[in-house]
Amino acid sequence: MSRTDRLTGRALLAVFCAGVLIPFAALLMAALNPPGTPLSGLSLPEHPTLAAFGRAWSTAGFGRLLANSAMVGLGVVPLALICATLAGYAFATMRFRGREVIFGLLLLGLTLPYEAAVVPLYYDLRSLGLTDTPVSLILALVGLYMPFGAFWMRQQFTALPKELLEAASLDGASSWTVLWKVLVPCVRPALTTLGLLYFLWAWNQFLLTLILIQTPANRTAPAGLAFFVGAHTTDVPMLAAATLIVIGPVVVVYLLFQRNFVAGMVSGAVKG
Amino acid sequence: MPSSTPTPGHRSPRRPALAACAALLVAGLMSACGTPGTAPASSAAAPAVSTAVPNDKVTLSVLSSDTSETTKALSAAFEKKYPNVTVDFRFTGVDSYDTSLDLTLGSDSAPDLALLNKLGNTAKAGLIRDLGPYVDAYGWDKTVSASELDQWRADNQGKALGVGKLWAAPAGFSLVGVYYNKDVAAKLGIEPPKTLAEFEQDLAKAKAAGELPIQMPNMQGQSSYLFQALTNTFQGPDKSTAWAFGSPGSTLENDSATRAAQKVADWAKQGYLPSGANGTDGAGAMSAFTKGQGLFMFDGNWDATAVDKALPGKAGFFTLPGESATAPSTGVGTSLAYAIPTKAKHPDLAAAFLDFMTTPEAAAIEFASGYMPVAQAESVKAPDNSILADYAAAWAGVAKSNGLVPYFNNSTPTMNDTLTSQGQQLVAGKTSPADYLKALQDDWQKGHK
Amino acid sequence: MTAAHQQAPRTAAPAPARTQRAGAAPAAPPAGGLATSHRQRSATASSGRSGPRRQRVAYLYLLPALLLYTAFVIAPWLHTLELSFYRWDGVTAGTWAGLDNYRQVLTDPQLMGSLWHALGYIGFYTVLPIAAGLVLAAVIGRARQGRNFAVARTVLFLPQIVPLVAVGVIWRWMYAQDGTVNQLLDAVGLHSWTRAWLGDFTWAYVAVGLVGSWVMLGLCLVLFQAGIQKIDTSLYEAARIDGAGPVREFLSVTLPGLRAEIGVAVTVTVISALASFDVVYVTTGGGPGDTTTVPGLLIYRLAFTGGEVGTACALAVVLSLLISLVVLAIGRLTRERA
Repeated sequence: MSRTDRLTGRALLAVFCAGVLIPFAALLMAALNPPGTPLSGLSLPEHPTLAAFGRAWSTAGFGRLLANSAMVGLGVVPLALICATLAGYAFATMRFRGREVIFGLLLLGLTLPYEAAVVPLYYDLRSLGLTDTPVSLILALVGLYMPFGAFWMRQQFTALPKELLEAASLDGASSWTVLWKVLVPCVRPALTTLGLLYFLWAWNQFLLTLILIQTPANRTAPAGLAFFVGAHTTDVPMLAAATLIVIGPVVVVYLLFQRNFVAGMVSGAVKG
Repeated sequence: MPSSTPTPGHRSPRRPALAACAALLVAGLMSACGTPGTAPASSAAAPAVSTAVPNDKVTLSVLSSDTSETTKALSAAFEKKYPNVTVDFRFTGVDSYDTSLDLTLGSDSAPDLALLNKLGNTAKAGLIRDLGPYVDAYGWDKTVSASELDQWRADNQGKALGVGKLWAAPAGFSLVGVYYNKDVAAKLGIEPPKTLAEFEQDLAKAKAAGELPIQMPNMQGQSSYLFQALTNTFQGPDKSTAWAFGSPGSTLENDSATRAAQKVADWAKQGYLPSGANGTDGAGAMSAFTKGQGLFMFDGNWDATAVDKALPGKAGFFTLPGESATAPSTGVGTSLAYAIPTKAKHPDLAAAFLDFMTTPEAAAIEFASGYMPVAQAESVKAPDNSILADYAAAWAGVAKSNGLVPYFNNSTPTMNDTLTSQGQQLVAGKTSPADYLKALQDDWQKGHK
Repeated sequence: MTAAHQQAPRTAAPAPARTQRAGAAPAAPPAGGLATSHRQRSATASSGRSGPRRQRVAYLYLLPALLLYTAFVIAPWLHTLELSFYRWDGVTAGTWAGLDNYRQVLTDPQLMGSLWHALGYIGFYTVLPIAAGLVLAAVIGRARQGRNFAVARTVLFLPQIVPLVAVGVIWRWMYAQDGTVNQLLDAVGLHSWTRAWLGDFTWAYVAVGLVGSWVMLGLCLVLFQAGIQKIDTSLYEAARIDGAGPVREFLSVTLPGLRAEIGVAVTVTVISALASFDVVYVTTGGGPGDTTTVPGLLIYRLAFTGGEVGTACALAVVLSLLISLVVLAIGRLTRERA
């Protein structure tokens, strides 16, 4: 590979990175202005201050919204991981009638647009009095993310050497013991990745929270942000600060675990 | 190239698809869902009402998209009057408010009071209560003028408006008109116009001098205010009101409305409207106006206090003048109206709040935040030369000629979306006035059949 | 291979098209160097052939997942199908409408328009980022992934991570009359190009579409870069001996070697394009006019403010069919070329 090639590569990469970073930079610069400052475009703040963050935090109650998002995430992740692990295990290691049918049905869920299911979901849950609670949102999200999780875990278990299973069965261990004592420890990194993806998707999910959660105080962070937009478009610093507050936690989690994220996303995850 | 992903188990590539279909069928049989429409029956028989305010600690939740300080100030005053009552004010920006209102009213966390920007499907869906019993208990029909209450009357279907049950009570009246920047006007040597012709001359003058004649957002379809104000001027308030209320046989496919739509299109073409109107939202346009971009701005009184704060003493307000100086004044407006949801937990307390809005104390609060009071209008006074004084004068003119016309946007549940989409096309020259009016009339037909 | 193993199978695409295809060649030689030997001796492969013993306990393991999946995805979707045959306002009793709602979806210019828009977004969500990703990956090529690339990868992937609502908020401001996009155009002397992008009948659609490209580019690049690393070096050497220039090398070695990754990228981005909702909801709300409406937006509007639940459901069914068809077609295409 020639020197010029490498330079063009670097330059191209730098241009694309700038394209990604400029909007974020503009956002950050805007957020550092005092709330209420009329702003246009990208410019360095004259009097940098964190006041806009404070104002956004108190005006829209983002503390509460973040807590809601965290609660939904923490509800979804363990439940979804357990369900996906159990299902993936069955698909990977057991023979049973209807295996292909059930698996095909799950795969269908990877392509079905969720917009197609939300309308009756709302009316059905409402007739059961289950809207507006985080519980129904959590359960719905777990259901929504099940196809990917079951597929992913099946893939993990399938990839393990079969000697592991054989050895364990020879010892007379039950399928339950084999799963938790032998297999799960082997796929722990994959579980971490799946858990992170679930967390990210649950945090970012918008349409479903928009429809299922009505009380403003119960909304999750992205929904809170969407409602915030219409109300505070003039106050650019405050809106920018609110946006940063909402994306902050996911960005931190991403930077800490980026290897897992990239691995997970690259393996075909759909942005949730 | 062969697959690199070994997923054993599927012997035939066709099987899973077939299998999935079969499974779908099975699931379909199991899920046994009956015909739709099993939602709870709409509004039950009118319960007994009470005008007493409870003495124990109680929280009144109020859902609103009111950006002026009116509702908040009224809430504070109400809390002061009844120290045991806490008002939980839940605010949502107007775009999202209207799209999510029906969902919220239908949920178990429905508030005790909810602002209605339009009747929409709320009455038909049984989401809000008939206020009739409270009208009788509090005598609102005596304190509030009939024409003002009529705006929120409708039949059970929410189709014939202006008559029937009362679904919401006013908390101050809004009026859409023309703001003007006194500095820009002075620079151009312009006085508030007395006729539509003068108004158009002013537009031309501003354009020639390199000023933007009319500041106007249109991202949420605000051009409909301009169109409606012109229509009202051309055909008079009665025909417009009839159309807004859905009176059988009304139509906008007439000469007056065509002239109005043509004017909007012409003004856009002549550069009297901002070129980026379709991409500018209300807040953006207002901030541009207060920075001196625009001689006039079509907007409602809800921004009066904000404009006054940004341009103290330098902004004025009038309603769009008629074709002659003696023509009756018309205005587009309605009340900031609150309804009591069917699922409200404290309906009587909510009604007490509605009644509080008709007191002189409330009148002062409503007026100070830019709304005409529901009742006791004679008790309020604005400082001379303030935008509120202009506003009160404009209101008095409209009231005298009985020229207040409800928003076209509220005529059907979908009219606001239609006006937004069509208005953006009209301003961009993507549709003709005739097609614009036809689209509005089609929506109207669908909503009132 | 331990590192790769721990990183999970990178090419394990959940797209149904690919898995269906997979069954046809279970023991295929690892031509792209992607499959590893231990996978061929996987637990399933053996237990699948080891005898007729069926394990009933499997159903117990599947129960929680299937329960939630059926309750919150399959049942509502079937209910959508059912509702699409009714005229229902969400409140009063519905009436049978037969195929009326579908007729409406297929004839109403606004509803059809939204479906066309969704298809058009494929250009922005899929074609553009994949093309850019391929060019980038080819240029960066097989250079050792240094620290620079690691940083760039982190940055380029960022738009995939943040909530789409936030992406919408960011770009709504970037595209405003006094936003950064116009500021940049001014800076390079293109003042005549500046406009309120999201309010422009010609450009709003492009502007919204480019937000999709912005989000998807990082995913495509990372995917292709990872794939390129796995292409057998000897193939490049052979090409060079044949006297292939960089372009021919790209066409004859890199592109075929990335076929699997491209398949994944196409499937994932196409689904995102057709099901887009968040960005449009926040940036334009479908305007100006109806130029940027997408099915998701109209489904929401029709069902929850317009009182036309039946039509909303019919549109949802049509959208589901459209996505299934497109995904199937993608699978078919990649299979034939393979």
